[in-house]
Amino acid sequence: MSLPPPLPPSSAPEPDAAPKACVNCGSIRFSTQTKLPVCEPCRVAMIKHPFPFWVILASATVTLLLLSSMALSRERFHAALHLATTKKLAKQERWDEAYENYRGLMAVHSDTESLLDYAEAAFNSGHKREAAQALDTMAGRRVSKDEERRYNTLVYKFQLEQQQRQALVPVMPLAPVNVSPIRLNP
Amino acid sequence: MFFIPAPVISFLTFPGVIVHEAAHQLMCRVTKTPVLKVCYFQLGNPAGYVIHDAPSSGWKHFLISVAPFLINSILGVLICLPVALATAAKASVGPVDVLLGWVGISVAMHAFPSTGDAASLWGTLKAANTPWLLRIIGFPAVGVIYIGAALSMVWFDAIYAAMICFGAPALFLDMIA
Repeated sequence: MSLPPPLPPSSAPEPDAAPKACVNCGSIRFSTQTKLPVCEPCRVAMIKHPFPFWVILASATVTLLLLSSMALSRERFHAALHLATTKKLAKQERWDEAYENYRGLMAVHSDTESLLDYAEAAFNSGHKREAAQALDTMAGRRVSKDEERRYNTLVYKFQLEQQQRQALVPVMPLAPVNVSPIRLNP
Repeated sequence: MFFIPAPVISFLTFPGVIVHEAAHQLMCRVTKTPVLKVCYFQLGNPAGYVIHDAPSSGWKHFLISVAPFLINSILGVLICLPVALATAAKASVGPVDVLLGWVGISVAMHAFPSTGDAASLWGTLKAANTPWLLRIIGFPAVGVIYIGAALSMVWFDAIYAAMICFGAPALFLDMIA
Protein backbone atom coordinates (compact mmCIF):
# COMPACT_ATOMS: atom_id res chain seq x y z
CA MET A 1 0.00 0.00 0.00
CA SER A 2 1.50 3.33 -1.07
CA LEU A 3 1.25 6.59 0.92
CA PRO A 4 -1.17 9.30 -0.36
CA PRO A 5 0.48 12.16 -2.24
CA PRO A 6 1.28 15.25 -0.16
CA LEU A 7 -1.28 18.08 -0.25
CA PRO A 8 -0.43 21.01 -2.56
CA PRO A 9 0.59 24.22 -0.78
CA SER A 10 -2.43 26.47 -0.30
CA SER A 11 -2.26 30.12 -1.31
CA ALA A 12 -5.72 30.92 0.07
CA PRO A 13 -5.72 32.76 3.43
CA GLU A 14 -7.00 31.07 6.54
CA PRO A 15 -10.78 31.57 6.75
CA ASP A 16 -10.62 32.88 10.33
CA ALA A 17 -7.64 35.09 9.77
CA ALA A 18 -8.05 38.73 10.92
CA PRO A 19 -8.58 41.13 8.02
CA LYS A 20 -5.49 43.02 7.03
CA ALA A 21 -7.41 46.06 5.76
CA CYS A 22 -10.66 47.96 6.33
CA VAL A 23 -13.53 45.75 5.17
CA ASN A 24 -15.28 48.76 3.67
CA CYS A 25 -12.63 50.74 1.80
CA GLY A 26 -9.50 48.62 1.96
CA SER A 27 -7.46 51.13 3.97
CA ILE A 28 -4.71 49.53 5.99
CA ARG A 29 -5.06 51.97 8.91
CA PHE A 30 -7.62 50.54 11.36
CA SER A 31 -9.58 52.71 13.76
CA THR A 32 -8.43 52.56 17.34
CA GLN A 33 -11.93 53.44 18.61
CA THR A 34 -13.57 50.14 17.70
CA LYS A 35 -12.84 46.44 17.50
CA LEU A 36 -14.51 46.32 14.10
CA PRO A 37 -12.10 45.85 11.18
CA VAL A 38 -12.73 49.32 9.78
CA CYS A 39 -10.73 52.50 9.39
CA GLU A 40 -11.61 55.70 11.27
CA PRO A 41 -13.45 57.45 8.37
CA CYS A 42 -15.53 54.32 7.82
CA ARG A 43 -16.29 54.11 11.56
CA VAL A 44 -17.51 57.73 11.54
CA ALA A 45 -19.61 56.96 8.46
CA MET A 46 -21.12 53.97 10.30
CA ILE A 47 -22.09 56.21 13.22
CA LYS A 48 -24.00 58.34 10.72
CA HIS A 49 -25.64 55.25 9.21
CA PRO A 50 -28.18 56.89 6.88
CA PHE A 51 -31.90 56.67 7.37
CA PRO A 52 -33.43 55.49 4.07
CA PHE A 53 -35.57 57.99 2.19
CA TRP A 54 -38.79 56.07 2.90
CA VAL A 55 -38.03 56.14 6.64
CA ILE A 56 -37.54 59.92 6.46
CA LEU A 57 -40.84 60.15 4.55
CA ALA A 58 -42.56 57.97 7.16
CA SER A 59 -41.11 60.17 9.92
CA ALA A 60 -42.51 63.24 8.19
CA THR A 61 -45.93 61.53 8.01
CA VAL A 62 -45.74 60.66 11.72
CA THR A 63 -44.82 64.29 12.46
CA LEU A 64 -47.86 65.47 10.48
CA LEU A 65 -50.06 63.02 12.38
CA LEU A 66 -48.57 64.30 15.62
CA LEU A 67 -49.34 67.91 14.69
CA SER A 68 -52.93 67.11 13.70
CA SER A 69 -53.23 65.09 16.90
CA MET A 70 -52.10 68.07 18.97
CA ALA A 71 -54.57 70.38 17.20
CA LEU A 72 -57.46 67.95 17.77
CA SER A 73 -56.42 67.32 21.38
CA ARG A 74 -56.53 71.01 22.21
CA GLU A 75 -60.19 71.23 21.17
CA ARG A 76 -61.25 68.05 22.88
CA PHE A 77 -59.36 68.56 26.10
CA HIS A 78 -61.82 71.16 27.43
CA ALA A 79 -64.84 69.01 26.61
CA ALA A 80 -63.28 65.98 28.31
CA LEU A 81 -62.26 68.04 31.34
CA HIS A 82 -65.76 69.54 31.59
CA LEU A 83 -67.33 66.08 31.63
CA ALA A 84 -64.78 64.75 34.13
CA THR A 85 -65.43 67.75 36.42
CA THR A 86 -69.18 67.19 36.17
CA LYS A 87 -68.81 63.51 37.04
CA LYS A 88 -66.69 64.45 40.03
CA LEU A 89 -69.34 66.95 41.19
CA ALA A 90 -71.97 64.21 40.99
CA LYS A 91 -69.67 61.83 42.87
CA GLN A 92 -69.28 64.45 45.60
CA GLU A 93 -73.08 64.81 45.63
CA ARG A 94 -72.89 68.49 44.71
CA TRP A 95 -76.09 67.99 42.78
CA ASP A 96 -76.98 71.59 41.94
CA GLU A 97 -73.64 72.27 40.26
CA ALA A 98 -73.65 68.83 38.64
CA TYR A 99 -77.15 69.41 37.26
CA GLU A 100 -76.19 72.79 35.78
CA ASN A 101 -73.11 71.25 34.13
CA TYR A 102 -75.01 68.23 32.79
CA ARG A 103 -77.77 70.47 31.42
CA GLY A 104 -75.20 72.15 29.20
CA LEU A 105 -73.70 68.84 28.16
CA MET A 106 -77.00 67.23 27.17
CA ALA A 107 -77.02 69.20 23.92
CA VAL A 108 -74.08 67.12 22.67
CA HIS A 109 -74.45 63.86 24.62
CA SER A 110 -77.34 61.51 24.12
CA ASP A 111 -75.79 58.24 25.21
CA THR A 112 -77.49 56.18 27.89
CA GLU A 113 -74.85 56.70 30.57
CA SER A 114 -74.91 60.49 30.16
CA LEU A 115 -78.72 60.51 30.25
CA LEU A 116 -78.68 58.49 33.46
CA ASP A 117 -76.07 60.79 35.00
CA TYR A 118 -78.18 63.80 34.01
CA ALA A 119 -81.39 62.23 35.34
CA GLU A 120 -79.70 61.40 38.68
CA ALA A 121 -78.32 64.93 39.02
CA ALA A 122 -81.69 66.45 38.05
CA PHE A 123 -83.61 64.24 40.50
CA ASN A 124 -81.25 64.88 43.39
CA SER A 125 -81.15 68.63 42.75
CA GLY A 126 -84.93 68.81 42.83
CA HIS A 127 -85.54 69.09 39.08
CA LYS A 128 -87.96 66.16 39.03
CA ARG A 129 -89.69 67.04 35.77
CA GLU A 130 -86.36 67.18 33.88
CA ALA A 131 -85.33 63.88 35.46
CA ALA A 132 -88.58 62.24 34.39
CA GLN A 133 -88.19 63.62 30.86
CA ALA A 134 -84.65 62.22 30.65
CA LEU A 135 -85.87 58.81 31.80
CA ASP A 136 -88.67 58.91 29.24
CA THR A 137 -86.21 59.42 26.38
CA MET A 138 -84.53 56.15 27.36
CA ALA A 139 -87.54 54.03 26.42
CA GLY A 140 -86.68 51.17 24.06
CA ARG A 141 -82.91 51.44 24.48
CA ARG A 142 -80.63 48.44 24.91
CA VAL A 143 -78.94 48.91 28.24
CA SER A 144 -76.32 47.12 30.29
CA LYS A 145 -77.15 45.48 33.62
CA ASP A 146 -75.61 48.37 35.52
CA GLU A 147 -77.57 50.93 33.49
CA GLU A 148 -80.75 48.93 34.05
CA ARG A 149 -80.08 48.92 37.82
CA ARG A 150 -79.48 52.69 37.85
CA TYR A 151 -82.63 53.31 35.82
CA ASN A 152 -84.73 51.12 38.11
CA THR A 153 -83.29 52.80 41.21
CA LEU A 154 -84.35 56.19 39.88
CA VAL A 155 -87.83 54.93 38.96
CA TYR A 156 -88.12 53.39 42.44
CA LYS A 157 -87.12 56.72 44.01
CA PHE A 158 -89.82 58.44 41.96
CA GLN A 159 -92.43 55.91 43.07
CA LEU A 160 -91.31 56.16 46.69
CA GLU A 161 -91.57 59.92 46.60
CA GLN A 162 -95.02 59.73 45.05
CA GLN A 163 -96.19 57.36 47.79
CA GLN A 164 -94.78 59.63 50.47
CA ARG A 165 -96.51 62.61 48.91
CA GLN A 166 -99.82 60.76 48.91
CA ALA A 167 -99.37 59.74 52.53
CA LEU A 168 -98.63 63.28 53.56
CA VAL A 169 -101.64 64.90 51.88
CA PRO A 170 -102.92 67.16 54.63
CA VAL A 171 -106.27 66.09 56.00
CA MET A 172 -108.97 68.68 55.23
CA PRO A 173 -109.98 70.47 58.37
CA LEU A 174 -113.52 69.82 59.43
CA ALA A 175 -115.99 72.48 58.48
CA PRO A 176 -116.84 74.66 61.38
CA VAL A 177 -120.11 73.60 62.83
CA ASN A 178 -122.44 76.28 63.86
CA VAL A 179 -123.46 75.02 67.09
CA SER A 180 -125.80 77.22 68.90
CA PRO A 181 -124.77 77.75 72.40
CA ILE A 182 -126.49 75.48 74.72
CA ARG A 183 -128.54 77.32 77.19
CA LEU A 184 -128.69 75.60 80.36
CA ASN A 185 -132.11 75.67 81.91
CA PRO A 186 -132.11 77.79 84.94
CA MET B 1 -57.36 34.02 25.08
CA PHE B 2 -56.90 33.53 21.34
CA PHE B 3 -53.59 33.13 19.53
CA ILE B 4 -52.55 35.22 16.55
CA PRO B 5 -49.14 34.45 14.97
CA ALA B 6 -46.51 37.12 15.70
CA PRO B 7 -45.88 37.98 12.01
CA VAL B 8 -49.59 38.77 11.57
CA ILE B 9 -49.51 41.10 14.59
CA SER B 10 -46.30 42.69 13.30
CA PHE B 11 -47.88 43.18 9.88
CA LEU B 12 -51.00 44.79 11.37
CA THR B 13 -48.92 47.06 13.61
CA PHE B 14 -45.95 47.69 11.30
CA PRO B 15 -45.65 51.44 12.10
CA GLY B 16 -44.66 50.44 15.63
CA VAL B 17 -41.90 48.10 14.41
CA ILE B 18 -40.42 50.82 12.19
CA VAL B 19 -40.49 53.40 15.01
CA HIS B 20 -38.93 50.82 17.40
CA GLU B 21 -35.95 50.16 15.12
CA ALA B 22 -35.60 53.84 14.18
CA ALA B 23 -35.44 54.64 17.92
CA HIS B 24 -32.57 52.14 18.37
CA GLN B 25 -30.76 53.64 15.37
CA LEU B 26 -31.35 57.20 16.56
CA MET B 27 -29.91 56.42 19.98
CA CYS B 28 -26.90 54.74 18.33
CA ARG B 29 -26.28 58.01 16.51
CA VAL B 30 -26.70 60.04 19.71
CA THR B 31 -24.26 57.79 21.60
CA LYS B 32 -21.85 57.70 18.62
CA THR B 33 -22.11 53.93 18.24
CA PRO B 34 -21.38 52.55 14.75
CA VAL B 35 -24.33 50.81 13.10
CA LEU B 36 -23.65 47.85 10.84
CA LYS B 37 -27.12 46.97 9.57
CA VAL B 38 -30.72 48.02 10.09
CA CYS B 39 -33.84 46.08 9.15
CA TYR B 40 -36.88 48.30 9.78
CA PHE B 41 -39.48 45.68 9.01
CA GLN B 42 -39.73 42.12 7.77
CA LEU B 43 -42.35 39.40 7.92
CA GLY B 44 -40.41 37.11 10.18
CA ASN B 45 -38.92 36.74 13.59
CA PRO B 46 -37.61 39.22 14.57
CA ALA B 47 -39.83 41.72 12.77
CA GLY B 48 -36.91 44.18 12.72
CA TYR B 49 -33.41 44.58 14.09
CA VAL B 50 -30.41 46.90 14.39
CA ILE B 51 -26.91 45.42 14.41
CA HIS B 52 -24.46 47.79 16.03
CA ASP B 53 -20.96 47.85 17.45
CA ALA B 54 -20.45 47.41 21.19
CA PRO B 55 -21.12 50.82 22.76
CA SER B 56 -18.17 52.46 24.51
CA SER B 57 -19.92 52.42 27.91
CA GLY B 58 -22.60 50.49 29.76
CA TRP B 59 -24.81 53.59 30.04
CA LYS B 60 -24.76 54.01 26.26
CA HIS B 61 -25.78 50.36 25.86
CA PHE B 62 -28.61 50.87 28.35
CA LEU B 63 -29.85 53.95 26.48
CA ILE B 64 -29.75 52.16 23.11
CA SER B 65 -31.72 49.24 24.60
CA VAL B 66 -34.45 51.28 26.31
CA ALA B 67 -34.79 54.03 23.67
CA PRO B 68 -37.79 52.35 21.96
CA PHE B 69 -39.54 52.02 25.31
CA LEU B 70 -39.37 55.77 25.87
CA ILE B 71 -39.85 56.95 22.28
CA ASN B 72 -42.62 54.50 21.33
CA SER B 73 -44.52 55.09 24.59
CA ILE B 74 -44.42 58.90 24.36
CA LEU B 75 -45.17 58.96 20.63
CA GLY B 76 -48.01 56.43 20.99
CA VAL B 77 -49.68 58.42 23.77
CA LEU B 78 -49.38 61.74 21.90
CA ILE B 79 -50.71 60.36 18.60
CA CYS B 80 -53.61 58.59 20.32
CA LEU B 81 -54.43 61.53 22.62
CA PRO B 82 -57.33 63.04 20.60
CA VAL B 83 -58.99 59.63 20.41
CA ALA B 84 -58.57 59.13 24.16
CA LEU B 85 -59.98 62.60 24.83
CA ALA B 86 -62.90 62.01 22.47
CA THR B 87 -63.63 58.77 24.32
CA ALA B 88 -63.41 60.56 27.68
CA ALA B 89 -65.65 63.37 26.42
CA LYS B 90 -68.01 60.83 24.79
CA ALA B 91 -67.64 62.68 21.51
CA SER B 92 -68.11 61.01 18.15
CA VAL B 93 -65.01 59.80 16.32
CA GLY B 94 -64.28 60.10 12.61
CA PRO B 95 -61.97 58.42 10.09
CA VAL B 96 -59.03 60.62 11.16
CA ASP B 97 -59.48 59.34 14.71
CA VAL B 98 -59.46 55.76 13.48
CA LEU B 99 -56.15 56.42 11.69
CA LEU B 100 -54.65 58.16 14.73
CA GLY B 101 -55.86 55.38 17.01
CA TRP B 102 -54.37 52.65 14.84
CA VAL B 103 -50.99 54.39 14.48
CA GLY B 104 -50.89 55.33 18.18
CA ILE B 105 -51.75 51.85 19.45
CA SER B 106 -49.38 50.23 16.94
CA VAL B 107 -46.50 52.43 18.07
CA ALA B 108 -47.22 51.92 21.78
CA MET B 109 -47.59 48.14 21.32
CA HIS B 110 -43.96 47.89 20.19
CA ALA B 111 -42.57 49.96 23.06
CA PHE B 112 -41.16 47.02 24.99
CA PRO B 113 -37.57 46.13 24.05
CA SER B 114 -37.13 42.63 22.65
CA THR B 115 -35.55 39.72 24.52
CA GLY B 116 -32.61 40.19 22.15
CA ASP B 117 -32.14 43.72 23.54
CA ALA B 118 -32.45 42.34 27.07
CA ALA B 119 -29.89 39.57 26.46
CA SER B 120 -27.43 42.05 25.01
CA LEU B 121 -27.94 44.45 27.93
CA TRP B 122 -27.57 41.57 30.40
CA GLY B 123 -24.12 40.84 28.98
CA THR B 124 -23.06 44.45 29.50
CA LEU B 125 -24.46 44.61 33.04
CA LYS B 126 -22.52 41.50 34.05
CA ALA B 127 -19.21 43.00 32.93
CA ALA B 128 -16.79 43.77 35.75
CA ASN B 129 -16.39 47.46 34.90
CA THR B 130 -20.15 48.24 34.87
CA PRO B 131 -21.05 51.02 37.35
CA TRP B 132 -23.17 49.96 40.34
CA LEU B 133 -25.87 52.57 39.65
CA LEU B 134 -26.31 51.16 36.16
CA ARG B 135 -26.59 47.65 37.61
CA ILE B 136 -29.22 48.81 40.12
CA ILE B 137 -31.28 50.35 37.31
CA GLY B 138 -30.38 47.87 34.61
CA PHE B 139 -31.05 44.49 36.24
CA PRO B 140 -34.70 45.28 37.15
CA ALA B 141 -35.14 46.75 33.66
CA VAL B 142 -33.91 43.50 32.10
CA GLY B 143 -36.27 41.58 34.41
CA VAL B 144 -39.21 43.76 33.35
CA ILE B 145 -38.32 43.26 29.68
CA TYR B 146 -38.28 39.44 30.10
CA ILE B 147 -41.55 39.50 32.07
CA GLY B 148 -43.09 41.72 29.36
CA ALA B 149 -41.90 39.30 26.67
CA ALA B 150 -43.35 36.32 28.56
CA LEU B 151 -46.66 38.11 29.14
CA SER B 152 -46.92 39.08 25.48
CA MET B 153 -48.44 35.58 25.09
CA VAL B 154 -51.46 36.95 26.98
CA TRP B 155 -51.55 40.20 24.97
CA PHE B 156 -49.56 42.22 27.50
CA ASP B 157 -48.18 44.50 24.76
CA ALA B 158 -51.71 45.34 23.63
CA ILE B 159 -52.88 45.81 27.24
CA TYR B 160 -49.90 48.08 27.92
CA ALA B 161 -50.72 50.13 24.79
CA ALA B 162 -54.37 50.49 25.81
CA MET B 163 -53.36 51.41 29.35
CA ILE B 164 -50.99 54.19 28.36
CA CYS B 165 -53.00 55.46 25.37
CA PHE B 166 -56.44 55.50 27.02
CA GLY B 167 -56.00 54.81 30.73
CA ALA B 168 -53.31 57.43 31.38
CA PRO B 169 -55.21 60.39 29.84
CA ALA B 170 -58.40 59.35 31.67
CA LEU B 171 -56.47 59.16 34.95
CA PHE B 172 -54.89 62.55 34.30
CA LEU B 173 -58.30 64.13 33.60
CA ASP B 174 -59.67 62.58 36.77
CA MET B 175 -56.76 64.03 38.75
CA ILE B 176 -57.10 67.59 37.47
CA ALA B 177 -60.93 67.70 37.31
